[in-house]
Amino acid sequence: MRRFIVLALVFAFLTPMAILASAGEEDTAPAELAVMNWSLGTAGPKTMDPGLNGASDGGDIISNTFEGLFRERSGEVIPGIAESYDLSDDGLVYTFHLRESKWSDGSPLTAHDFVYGWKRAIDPATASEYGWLWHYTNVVGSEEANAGEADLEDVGIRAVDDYTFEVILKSPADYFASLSSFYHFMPVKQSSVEHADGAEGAWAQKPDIFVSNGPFVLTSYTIGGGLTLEKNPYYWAADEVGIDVINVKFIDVASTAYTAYQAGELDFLSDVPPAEIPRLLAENPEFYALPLLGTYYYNFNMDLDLFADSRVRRALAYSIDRKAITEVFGDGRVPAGGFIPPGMPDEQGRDFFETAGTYGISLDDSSYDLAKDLLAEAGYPNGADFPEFVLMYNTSEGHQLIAEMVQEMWKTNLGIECTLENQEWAVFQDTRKEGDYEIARGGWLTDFLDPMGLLAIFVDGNTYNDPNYNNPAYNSAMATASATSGADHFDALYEAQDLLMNDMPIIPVYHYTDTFLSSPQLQGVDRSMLGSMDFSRAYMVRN
Amino acid sequence: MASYFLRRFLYSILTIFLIATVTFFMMHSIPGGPFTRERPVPDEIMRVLNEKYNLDAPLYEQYYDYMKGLITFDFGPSFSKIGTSVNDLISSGFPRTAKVGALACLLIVAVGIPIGIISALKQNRPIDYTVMFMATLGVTIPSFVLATIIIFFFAGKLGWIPSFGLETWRSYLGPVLALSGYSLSFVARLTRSSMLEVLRQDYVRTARANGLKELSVIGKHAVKNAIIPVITYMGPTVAAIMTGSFVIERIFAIPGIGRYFVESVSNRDYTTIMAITVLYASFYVIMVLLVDVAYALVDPRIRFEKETH
Amino acid sequence: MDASQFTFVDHSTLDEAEPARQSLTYWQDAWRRLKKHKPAMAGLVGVIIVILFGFVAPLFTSVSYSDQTIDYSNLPPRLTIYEIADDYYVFLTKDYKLLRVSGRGHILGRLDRIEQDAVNKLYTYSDGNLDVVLDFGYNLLPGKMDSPFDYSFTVDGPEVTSPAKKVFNKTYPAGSDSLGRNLLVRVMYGARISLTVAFVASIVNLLIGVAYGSLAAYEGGRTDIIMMRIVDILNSIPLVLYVILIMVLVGNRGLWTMIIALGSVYWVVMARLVRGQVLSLKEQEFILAARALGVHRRNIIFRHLVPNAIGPIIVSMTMMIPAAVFTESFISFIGLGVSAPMASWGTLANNALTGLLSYPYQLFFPSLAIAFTMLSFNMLGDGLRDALDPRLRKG
Repeated sequence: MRRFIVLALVFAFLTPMAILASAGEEDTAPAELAVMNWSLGTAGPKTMDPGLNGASDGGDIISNTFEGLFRERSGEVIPGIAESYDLSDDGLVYTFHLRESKWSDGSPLTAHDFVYGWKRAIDPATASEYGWLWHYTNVVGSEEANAGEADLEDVGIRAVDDYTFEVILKSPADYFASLSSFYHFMPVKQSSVEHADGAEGAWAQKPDIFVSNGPFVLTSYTIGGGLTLEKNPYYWAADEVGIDVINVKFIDVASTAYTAYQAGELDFLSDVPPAEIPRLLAENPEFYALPLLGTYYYNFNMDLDLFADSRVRRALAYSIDRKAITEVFGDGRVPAGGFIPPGMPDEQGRDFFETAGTYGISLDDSSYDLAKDLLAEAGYPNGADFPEFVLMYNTSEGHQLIAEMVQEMWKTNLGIECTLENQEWAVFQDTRKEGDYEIARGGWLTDFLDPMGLLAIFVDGNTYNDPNYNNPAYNSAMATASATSGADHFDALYEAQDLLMNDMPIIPVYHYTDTFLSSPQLQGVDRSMLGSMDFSRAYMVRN
Repeated sequence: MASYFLRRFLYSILTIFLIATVTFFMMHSIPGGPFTRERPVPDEIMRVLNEKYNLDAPLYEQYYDYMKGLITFDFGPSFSKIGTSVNDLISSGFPRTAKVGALACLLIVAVGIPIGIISALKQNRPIDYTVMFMATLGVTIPSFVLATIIIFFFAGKLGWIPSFGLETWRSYLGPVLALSGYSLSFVARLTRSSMLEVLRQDYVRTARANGLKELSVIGKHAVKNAIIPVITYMGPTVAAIMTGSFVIERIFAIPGIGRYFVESVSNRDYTTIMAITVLYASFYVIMVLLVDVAYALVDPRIRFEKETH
Repeated sequence: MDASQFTFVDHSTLDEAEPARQSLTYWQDAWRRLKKHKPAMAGLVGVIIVILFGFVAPLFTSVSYSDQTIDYSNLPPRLTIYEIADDYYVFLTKDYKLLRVSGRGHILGRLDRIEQDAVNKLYTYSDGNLDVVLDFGYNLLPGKMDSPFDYSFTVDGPEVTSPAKKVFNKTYPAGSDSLGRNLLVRVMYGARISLTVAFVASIVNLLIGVAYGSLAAYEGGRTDIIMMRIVDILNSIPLVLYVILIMVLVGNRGLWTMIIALGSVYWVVMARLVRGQVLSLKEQEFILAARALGVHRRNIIFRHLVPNAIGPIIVSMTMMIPAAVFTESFISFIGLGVSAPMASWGTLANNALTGLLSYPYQLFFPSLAIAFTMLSFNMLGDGLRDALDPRLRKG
């Protein structure tokens, strides 16, 4: 069975991106170089090595310097280095047919480069921060090899010939194609990575050693200052690349970058000052707010007697006015009635978020009475005698605002008093991991387009299960989901979220959004659903 | 005196060593490590990482290794920039930080001291009030506000300077001004108060009474004696300014080293914390030593040895 | 010359002719002179005002620093209002909320946005029986450029394009923050924290800094070297590291842990400054004289050396108050000190920074409070300097 790859997953709510991506036919005058200035919004990535990177700023660079089997743009999976692929009837063997393409040094790129890149990422000696992701790929032997328990040779990845790349899974994973477009799964060139002239990972920031296969190559890098990307003439679709030079600036103070953008010093801004957003949203067509696949929530410490009663947990969850919270930020973040954000299609193409509903959590202030009743049933009428507890968050202005609102809502709606406490990031993580808290802030972003990526964290024993939630029914639903595909997979996931929202070990607050400003001169910008910016088909329009 | 300063120099080296030691054990005793992430890395990966960076060795061994590195000026690899050594981090960022810092120091001394003197000489006249009002404002407005206003106004509204970076000479104006604002005001205020004090002293009165020219009275006698608190203040200030400011470098997006003072601790970037602390401490200790040398030059009566009484 | 030419002096007349002047102690004399110093008294009044503002004024407001009205967020202290119907005034916020306001500046309520046409920049608001159409496309949309006004409001009749007047915000005299909290009240409560911090910092500076610095300088030699090297160490260890360590070891016990953190490192600048002054003073003749007379060390330091260095001491003490206030906000950002929603002046100023472009007043009021406090302390300090300066002592 040979499939032609148009796994079109286009969602209606992604309209703003469509506007950005429109009008691709106009030709730009080639006389002058098309130069684009981009503020990355951070002080610079920790690394730009696909195998080592674990952060979104590095991901933004990598998605413009490298190209994997596929490219995912606005949810649509389009061919990258793989021209097409075959999938065995049992859904376990993927055979990718690669196009003949070249590295930025002019040498040919083959299936062996993919094998090298992927195995390097799995190898525990590489110590990739994203090694855990292999658990979700279902690739035979990959998780074990990453844990140092199996040999790399036994991983189900191989080059059949120079242009045929084969991957064997232990159970089906419908999301495999879109997952493989993620920056972790890029091919890398061995001679560049293992170049004698530099420490491990140094190759990715030294322009003279750096070799990539994407639309752009790295030509300069200043620690903490910025970097330059130039069009890669050897990119297989180089004639579609409309930008000649991208000057990436590391500006991590949003107000500085915003001023620079207004003064015309920047064309694209990845970090918009929050206070300006409500006004920009109304006035400025250059402003975009797009969903980011993640959820902001609060963890209950389920080991405490105080939160043992699910009525108490639900009362606390129902008494929050999520609309009011999201309106304060005014940047389009979505009130959360469940754990799965919008943008995840199920097997019928329905949006998981819409289909799942809100489990009786009203998104505004209409379930306050229900909350009061639940609290009274649990033995605390009008919050009487409810022990005082601490709501903990890591230091940040945004987290503080939300905590202050929630504190006030509990006080006025339930008569419950809590105190707020903030901790420095690393200290907070330690506190949360040790379970030394009552209610603590949490947030989770997924790295692949399947609800598994989010719901899996609440399985008993998962490292990220901060509330220490343990419901055998939930665990088994999740086990079913990870072993199945299609309808079975999604039925199990719907069931799992039902259980989660009924037990309420967490209070979902909202789903994240990503905001940016893009100059009208810059057209054809796109972005993956996972949030990486993609300038591979962008171009400049001169007025 | 020379033997005193030689002794002081040896003590200074001991001080740097002690600072490095205290910092080393403090940073290892706070929660979190260089590989603390929102998503904790799997145990095996953590083990490999710790092994790779020698963090699995006993603390005293790490300490020994670190001190050895310190003596040879090898600060090790950075934890927050993969593939970059801390030496690279410093040698890339420090020249920029130091350039901005040197200009700021120059501005502080060249403007702060003269306006302080003028203000003292014109005590209770409009110019004095103006200077003191500005100085009050200068210490009240924190540098982060000053920097933001400078960018908003001079880069955004007027377009006189670039909003970020250090690419042209104009781009130095903002950071230098924001960096020097507080200390400039402090120095002006300190100079004025110290000058007023000295001008009341008998020897100044005597000098004036003896018909010495006003300029020579002020230049030769008053300023020389009034300068001591300014020297004391400027010593550590120069060390702080030359090693950069976290706030200013962040706001102006200057690729210097100042931002590492806070970032390295947040990231638990052990090697960078140590390097930046040792760098600052060395600067500081040297400046403090120079301050004492300056005391001896300005006021030859000053003795540092123990009194024999 | 015989005895008759002499008469005995009557003791009573002697008393009259040469009234014995009550001998004043150093401190009594200082207070006497301070009272005559006008700027100093103005400064003292300023300090008292700030203390009353922080500790007494909140008792007279019914609003708490934590009360939120999210509908009324980010309102400036001065409102430009439009009269869209007879005696019906509205105020449009920067984030396009429409509020009904009384003609005198009281906030009456919020109108719901019932329709929004983002393309044509037309929003419709309603309060239940009155619908208002806001057109904010002027100077934004191509066809409406170069318009003399930015907004127009329409209720059935003609477009209202010019504001009726500017009024002071009576509900939020200093404006509201992003959660609709009363900034004036928040600045009042913030005074409690920031004044405590300013006070503690000054006391620590005076007690530890001055004593430490003068002792080191007076003793000289090895004592001086070792004492000052301790200062060097305290000064060079990164503050963040130190604060995190305290947080982990002691936990956050509110303002007290903050004061410990701040107090234990804050005196080093003062210590160095005093040492420098004393080093130069102790070689002067009057100290040599005191020493020759066998005056006790403690008395030499506190009666002779410190009073003579009082100028730079007081100037630095007052100049370091704002630094202390902002250091407090940095420390509480890391996680020590009072917890939200209570906020010090430094924290209020810090939080206002992100919205500086749109809501500058949120930064203005806490900054004004800090500046006013510093200026008051400064003027008081100047007077104190003159009062305490032994060279200016008369009689």
